Amino acid sequence: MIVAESLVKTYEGAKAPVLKGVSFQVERGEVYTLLGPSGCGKTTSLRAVAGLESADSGRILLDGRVVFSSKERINVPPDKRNIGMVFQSYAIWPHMSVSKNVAYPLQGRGLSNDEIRKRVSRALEVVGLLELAERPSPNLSGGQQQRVALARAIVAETSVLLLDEPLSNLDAKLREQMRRDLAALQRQLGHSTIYVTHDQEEALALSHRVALMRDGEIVEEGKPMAMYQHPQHPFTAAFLGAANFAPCVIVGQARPGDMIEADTPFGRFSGVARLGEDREAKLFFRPHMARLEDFDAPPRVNRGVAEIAEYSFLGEVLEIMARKGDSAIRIRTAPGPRAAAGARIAFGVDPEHSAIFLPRA
Amino acid sequence: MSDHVILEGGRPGVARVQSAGAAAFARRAPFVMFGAVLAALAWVAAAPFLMLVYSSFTAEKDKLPFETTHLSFANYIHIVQDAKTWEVIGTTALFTIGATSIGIGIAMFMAWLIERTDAPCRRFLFVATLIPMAIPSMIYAMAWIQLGGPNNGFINTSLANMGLGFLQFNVFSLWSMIVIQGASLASHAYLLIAVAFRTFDTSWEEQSFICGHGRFATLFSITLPMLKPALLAAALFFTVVSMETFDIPVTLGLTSHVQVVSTQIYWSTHPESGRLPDYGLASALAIFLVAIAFALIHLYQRATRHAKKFVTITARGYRPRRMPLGAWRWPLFAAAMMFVVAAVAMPLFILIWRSLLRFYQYPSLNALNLLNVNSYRNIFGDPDIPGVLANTAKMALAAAGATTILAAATAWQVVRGSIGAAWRRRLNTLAFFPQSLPSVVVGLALIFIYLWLPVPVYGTLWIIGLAMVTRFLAYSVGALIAAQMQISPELEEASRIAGVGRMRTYLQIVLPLIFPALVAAFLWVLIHIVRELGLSLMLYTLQSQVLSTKIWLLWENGRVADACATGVMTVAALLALLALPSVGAGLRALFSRRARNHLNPCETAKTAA
Ligand SMILES: Nc1ncnc2c1ncn2[C@@H]1O[C@H](COP(=O)(O)OP(=O)(O)OP(=O)(O)O)[C@@H](O)[C@H]1O
Ligand SMILES: [Mg+2]
Repeated sequence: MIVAESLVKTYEGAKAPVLKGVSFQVERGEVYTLLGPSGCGKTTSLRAVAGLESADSGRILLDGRVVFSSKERINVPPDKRNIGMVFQSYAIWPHMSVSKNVAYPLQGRGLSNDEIRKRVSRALEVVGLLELAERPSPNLSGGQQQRVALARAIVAETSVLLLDEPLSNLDAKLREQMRRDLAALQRQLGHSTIYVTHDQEEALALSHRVALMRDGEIVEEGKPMAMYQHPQHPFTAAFLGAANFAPCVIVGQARPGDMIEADTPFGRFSGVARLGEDREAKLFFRPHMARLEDFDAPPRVNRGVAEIAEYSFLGEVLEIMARKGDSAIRIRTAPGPRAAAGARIAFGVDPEHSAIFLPRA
Repeated sequence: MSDHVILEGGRPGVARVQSAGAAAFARRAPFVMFGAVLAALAWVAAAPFLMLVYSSFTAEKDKLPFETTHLSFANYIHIVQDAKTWEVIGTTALFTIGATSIGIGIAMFMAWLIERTDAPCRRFLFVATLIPMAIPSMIYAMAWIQLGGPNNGFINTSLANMGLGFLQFNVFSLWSMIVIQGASLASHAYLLIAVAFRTFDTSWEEQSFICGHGRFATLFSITLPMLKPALLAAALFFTVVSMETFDIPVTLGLTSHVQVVSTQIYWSTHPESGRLPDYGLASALAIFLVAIAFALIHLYQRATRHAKKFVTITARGYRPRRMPLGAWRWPLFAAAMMFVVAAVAMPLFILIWRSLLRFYQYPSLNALNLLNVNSYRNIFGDPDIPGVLANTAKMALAAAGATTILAAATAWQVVRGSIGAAWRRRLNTLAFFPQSLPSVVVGLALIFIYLWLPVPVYGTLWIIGLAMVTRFLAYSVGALIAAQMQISPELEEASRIAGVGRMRTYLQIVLPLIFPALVAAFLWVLIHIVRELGLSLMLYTLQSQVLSTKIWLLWENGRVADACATGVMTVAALLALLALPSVGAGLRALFSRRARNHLNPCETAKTAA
């Protein structure tokens, strides 16, 4: 189990803090993903857990043991934290063979040579690299290096595993395969894992829980599906996938959590009210959650009308850009016959698939 | 956390209990190590300078700095008022500018020809250009005295024989000194400049060809202007080297009394018999020299920062396209050969020839049967020689080792240390400071320090060794910082994560990876220590003679053949050292980009993926 409590960190010479009170808890056997745009402090958080960077304040516990606490002045160095980690660059030692690399974390643990050999073989077998054991490590492809790094991280059978964008150096195909392998491995070994990535698809596919970070803070935390479908925060809505935000005026009183109604340029919609960040209220729904409807049907709530501005064909889906006045939304449908640009369409969105972000107080 | 007990892991078999004391040490250790490096650097880099500043205000004629008590500007007033000083400074300026221009000019030409054109026999030219690295400057000057002596120098006699007597020159004149210093600089300058030529992106030139400019128009309008920052940096660097050089001016100026500041400092502390040493004057002159060197080094560092931005490689693993010289191929090769013959082959030839004759004979077939190896016999029979060799070996190995270890520790602290950035920058500045301390100046300062301190170092080999560490520290720190920066910090961090402590991480991960650079730096310092005359001459006594001072004494006592024989053997030994594959590999590792790819896993991974 990994616990981080209110980590604050300002790099030397920097003005603003990089971490502004980051807290999270990773249960045993859970994959917890730190997701966020470049520079938001994911790596810094991970390095603080590893002990490679010390936070200015906060507390970190690994399996119940305090490894960092600014109050108690405890800062256990990384070599005493007993963790496994895969670096973004893999950090495979070029002067050692594959098996030497993997055996390295086992030294000084009072294991017999036989035992070390056995464990190294087992780790290499898990990542499918047994036949490359004696290869000098510079002669490896990117995917193979990634597996060596993984084998090295799991060989000591630590209960905590930290992964910093382990797939970012791979090409798209290899990445998808490694993603599946990684998930399988995790199920098999049951580490408490922190996974850092800026790729939302990877995060959604791999994690038990996702924490979305922005500017040194966790904006929202939750299960991948819930966060994708029912984001509590406009940043989550925007970051996790394609999103429509239509300006709207709220009808009546609204408190966060209520089911409310709002008027958009396209028509009146209902949705759950959430705290927003902008000066005006915004109706949110994902483009593929809107369905085209019969234009001549009578008007009702949760139905909007607009003019087709343009199409883009994205392969699996056809995206329609539709306008009404100054506002535009995107609707994704299965590719099919297209109406001419300028044609008027009607679309419907179910209230459970939309949210209304309230104006900032 | 005084009674805090840390329990490791949740897994049987690897549970470890760490005492509170050990944990506290783990946090304090970085400061202890940093402090140790800082103290060592302060001792070898800052103390000599501070001592000189002090002595420039206190020392007087025949009085050491601590033999007087009052502080005064007398020494500075003296050098400002003395016409002789201004003359020496003028000579030094002329010598410095002339020698640097010649050295850089030759190096640029050779680097362009070897690195960027399809000139013939490039490999041969490359080796020939680098050979002078193995010839100590003093021995180079001695060879030139044999070539250009006014009465019977080989070249002068030959010119007279050919009826070209009007071309004769006097090797002891300032002008000859300038040319000889320039020629001996060329090979060092080549190493620095060749990198810029080698990493030059040819597409700039190709663009110029496409725009309809010819080979030479492109050279002057594109290539050289693009390389200007790098060349300027090299020029600044070698200006400092020429300004503080000692060996050539002292060897050639001994006869003609042409003096530069560095020899003036030496002669003020080692006056001819009957005169008194003037330590105050020497100190003030030294401060003057250091101030100018410091300013130039500062400019150099700014220039190199800029140069790095300017000259860049774009594509990975590109093959530079060589410029076809066409009809110019052989004429330009001939020009390069003129340099090789005049600056490398003839000095080496005359050195060997002279070492085989008791009395000088003009080289001819008739003279061949007079050749003998008596001087080599003399040398091996000389009762001093075993001691001198042992001294040289002991001192050079120990000083080169100490320099390399201190430089490696400094490089690690500067690049990776866990101490605040401001302190690491200070450490860096301190380590580079001795670059502006000329040999004679270091020698002078160490005389004062160890005459004053109650430790039995003065007059022993130790003081020479310590001086060498100061002298060559900056160079090795520079090389090892470059090497350390090529090692991704994540390689070290991965080892810490694997449960290995700071010290063992250094030994198991960092050391093997910078080992080639360490070996190269060690051998480079070793070679330069053996070459160095100025420091040894300032500091030696009869008990602490080393090779360079021994050759100097032989020469001064008129045993020219013996001096040349010792010189020949020294050059042979240094050539052998330079030819070691590890030196070549190390030099290449320092200069090549591929090494960086090899050591930076991120890059490798990207290439491989
Ligand atoms: N050693 C450092 N010194 C100063 N600033 C740093 C240092 N390391 C990171 N930063 C800054 O801290 C911020 C957060 O960095 P961090 O590496 O944690 O981001 P990240 O979320 O991992 O981004 P990425 O997705 O690009 O890897 C960035 O603005 C970065 O520039
Ligand atoms: Mg990162």
